[in-house]
Amino acid sequence: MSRPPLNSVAVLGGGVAGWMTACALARVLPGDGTLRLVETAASAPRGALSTLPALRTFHGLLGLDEAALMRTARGTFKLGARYSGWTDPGHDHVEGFSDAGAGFDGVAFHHHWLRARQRGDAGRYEDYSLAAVAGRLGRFTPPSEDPRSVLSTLSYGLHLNAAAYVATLRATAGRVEARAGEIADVVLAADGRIAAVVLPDGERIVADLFIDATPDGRLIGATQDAGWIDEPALPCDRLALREVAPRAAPPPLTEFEAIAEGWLRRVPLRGGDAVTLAYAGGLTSDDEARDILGGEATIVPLRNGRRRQVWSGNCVAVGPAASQLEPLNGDDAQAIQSGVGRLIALLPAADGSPLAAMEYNRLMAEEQDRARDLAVFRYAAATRTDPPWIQARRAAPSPALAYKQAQFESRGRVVLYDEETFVEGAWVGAFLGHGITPRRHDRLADRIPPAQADAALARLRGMIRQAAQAMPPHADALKDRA
Amino acid sequence: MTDRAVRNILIVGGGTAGWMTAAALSAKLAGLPIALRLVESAEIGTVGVGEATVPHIRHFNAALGLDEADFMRKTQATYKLGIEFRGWGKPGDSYIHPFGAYGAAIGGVGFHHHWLRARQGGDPTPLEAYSLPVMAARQNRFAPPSSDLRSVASTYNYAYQFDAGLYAAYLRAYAEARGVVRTEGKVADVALRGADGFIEAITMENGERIEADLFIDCSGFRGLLIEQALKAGYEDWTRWLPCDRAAAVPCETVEASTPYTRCTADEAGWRWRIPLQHRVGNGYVYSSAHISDDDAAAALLAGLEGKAQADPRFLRFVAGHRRKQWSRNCVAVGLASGFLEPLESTSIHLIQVAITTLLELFPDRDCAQADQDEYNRVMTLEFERIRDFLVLHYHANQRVGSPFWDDRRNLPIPDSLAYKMDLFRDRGVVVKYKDGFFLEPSWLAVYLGQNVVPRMYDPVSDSVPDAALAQRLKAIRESVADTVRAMPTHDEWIARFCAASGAAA
Repeated sequence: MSRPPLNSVAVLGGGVAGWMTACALARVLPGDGTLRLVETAASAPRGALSTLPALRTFHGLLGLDEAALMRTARGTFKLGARYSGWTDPGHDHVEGFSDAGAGFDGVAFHHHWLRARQRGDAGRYEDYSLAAVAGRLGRFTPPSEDPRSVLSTLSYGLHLNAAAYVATLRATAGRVEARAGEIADVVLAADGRIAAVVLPDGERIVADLFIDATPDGRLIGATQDAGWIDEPALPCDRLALREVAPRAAPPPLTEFEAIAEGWLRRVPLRGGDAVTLAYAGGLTSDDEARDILGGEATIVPLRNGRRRQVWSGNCVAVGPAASQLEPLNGDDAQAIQSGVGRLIALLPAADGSPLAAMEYNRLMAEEQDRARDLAVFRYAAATRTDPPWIQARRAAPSPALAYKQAQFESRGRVVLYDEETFVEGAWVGAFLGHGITPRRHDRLADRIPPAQADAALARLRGMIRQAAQAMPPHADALKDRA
Repeated sequence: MTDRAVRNILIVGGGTAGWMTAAALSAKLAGLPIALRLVESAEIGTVGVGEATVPHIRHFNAALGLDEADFMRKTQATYKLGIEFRGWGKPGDSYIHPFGAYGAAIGGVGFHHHWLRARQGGDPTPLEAYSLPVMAARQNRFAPPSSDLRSVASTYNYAYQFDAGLYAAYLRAYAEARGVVRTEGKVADVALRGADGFIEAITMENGERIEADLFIDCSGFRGLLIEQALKAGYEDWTRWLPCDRAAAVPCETVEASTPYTRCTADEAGWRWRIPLQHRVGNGYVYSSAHISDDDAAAALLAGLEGKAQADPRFLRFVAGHRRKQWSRNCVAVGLASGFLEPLESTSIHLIQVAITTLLELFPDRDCAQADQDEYNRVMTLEFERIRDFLVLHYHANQRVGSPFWDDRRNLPIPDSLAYKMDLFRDRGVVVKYKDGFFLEPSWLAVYLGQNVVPRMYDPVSDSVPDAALAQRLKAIRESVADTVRAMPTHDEWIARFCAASGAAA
């Protein structure tokens, strides 16, 4: 190898971002390399995670036992998310983790549904998603591996207590040398790279590569060319967190309820529900936020946007140091997971890899902007007229989102760009769920005679409903894993 | 809504593009009240001289329900496992760009990184030893891939080399059997509607006026509808792809037919060799600024392996694409939509993508601007990504001292390609995008085949111990070699499965 291999990595910060990154790097760094982690107080994990099914792949790579993880991290299953109050009062919709229906005759399912509903009652779009139907019924069963079974269309994410999740990661991290500490100083070299991070007790952390897992980007902010791009179309800049008593029958869903001040998220955990209120600090005070949550809450500031360059010199930002987004897509930890995956795929040499950094920045920016588009869309499609909602809709959507929405409105086409976290089924579910109805369906759906199409849809809906009703209640499924 | 539906479609021009479109629409629009019509003139020659394809053609044929053996017999088709590039790096070099991956990822790290590491450690084994389709091609062997995903025999795909004229005729019969009405004659005039500039009708030389809701321009380079009538404009890529002519000539088959196409770098461009069952198609794609037609034809004829079956035919073109491949109620398909030299056999593929995209965005009579925009976005991306891949072949040459090739190496390349090459040179990363036809194995084949070597391999490769890596490499190599040894020869397989009557094979 003509270039010096990466031999030492230091993770500063900790939390979900720091520990996910450390655990993943521990598996690939050379055996004689060092991997250190300094946990700062501010990076301590709070609240709950509502994750996509993809996180389970990450756990598989780490060799994490899911049943054990769910016990220690108070985990429950997640089949999707329910959004209520976003458009008409009393209206809600579920975006489930199984694609609705099944494309038949080579045409995506939603076109058949759009066509059928012009003629009469075709039910809700989500009635064709097994995950959504089971989610509403509060039922859960693991997916089947038999592709002929309707249960094979299921996939699921997890609801986890963040602090306990981090504790689990820490316990499996093996070679990571961790200590508690604060960052007293970030020392830059003449070329702008980080020479060392100095702790209050005088210890100097020196490494080939620094991972900034602080909540405020203490390291990356000290390097050059690392400005922050604010996202004006997302109005909430404060989160209030609290935990409330569990429900007798917790749904396998994350629930997002739009309210005058912003929105409320409820994540079911074993022994309690983690509730988050997102609000705009300029319109709602922290005390008012606490009142909405019943008096008690931890307040966390939020700055929607992303860093222009999340990899700068020998510093890579992960988690909130890299990007922040109102957590209303239910994709917690996704940006961290893909960030560390991409970092490993582009692992630099000890003397840095400016080109790898450039590619990493391109990929992460694309990914973050597309996920942001989905969050922005949820505001843009909302019909509420309370101040934060009006404020959100005043900002212009990105050209990418404007084009994507226009294509869907015109003919139900889902445009997918590079590095989309959410693919066709997820976007269709969000568009239709939030009340965007295409003006036309795909003309090729008309090849099937109406009566035949109606019968196929009715059959499918019945089969899905039946399969969902046959599943055990979510609470029972959790007991099986206990 | 129904009253806005397209009621009739007119395809202008036959040839490969016209009949592929007619066949696909007749299959995919079946069940809808849409009349399909195609006008073509036997007096206007089609370009197809013998055509090499990419594996996607198999999906196209399957979607039409074609019987593979029957299709191959009737188009004098042979199998294609890849393309051999001769002399594109250094003069005398040869590599095959296969339809398949090299090796398999080890420890989550792409195979080529491990190969680079082994090579740095002194292992001289060429990359192609780990590619089943390349090794089979080198030995003139062929068998269809296995469906058992655990087998190395499942690690490749294949395409065809066929007579494009016969393919068009085959699809014509298919389309006509499904109701496509063919009209013989030349188009004399194109009438636009005053209100919105849509095409209202064409008038044939015999005076017949044909109206349609949607027009498909398959008229070839000249773009009778899309350019001459609708002025779609042309994005000219000559600065990156300066070859603007081709001379083509078929010759007799002398050797065993190869399951691959050959592209040989020459003084002012490159020569193709496409073996069919009944003959070999040959051509020379060249830059008229660097060689005369006569000299190009002479070079072409001098390189033939068998007796020429005709005089060379000359073609002219400009690399690039229409700015709007869909304008108003007209969609251009095939050469009317743009031209990229057939260095990577993408001509028919671009026709196929155009048809698929049109079907995905099938419009109403008003041809919503949104449909046009999306079609043009998708097709432009498709063209641009292929363009970069083609320019890579030219740019990464070491043919020092030849004016044509020195220019290709030294003149600027598209920024998007420069970025991709930088990433590969730096640490062996193949930049990936969602759209675009050529995937990582293709880029690897050309990069490494033309001596673009990364400065470092993926360091995570080192997590696999040396001895374990050597053992794994040996196992892959042996399994490839063993599998190839058991395959029949290409000619044997054709004779068994799909021999055309009277073919040399």
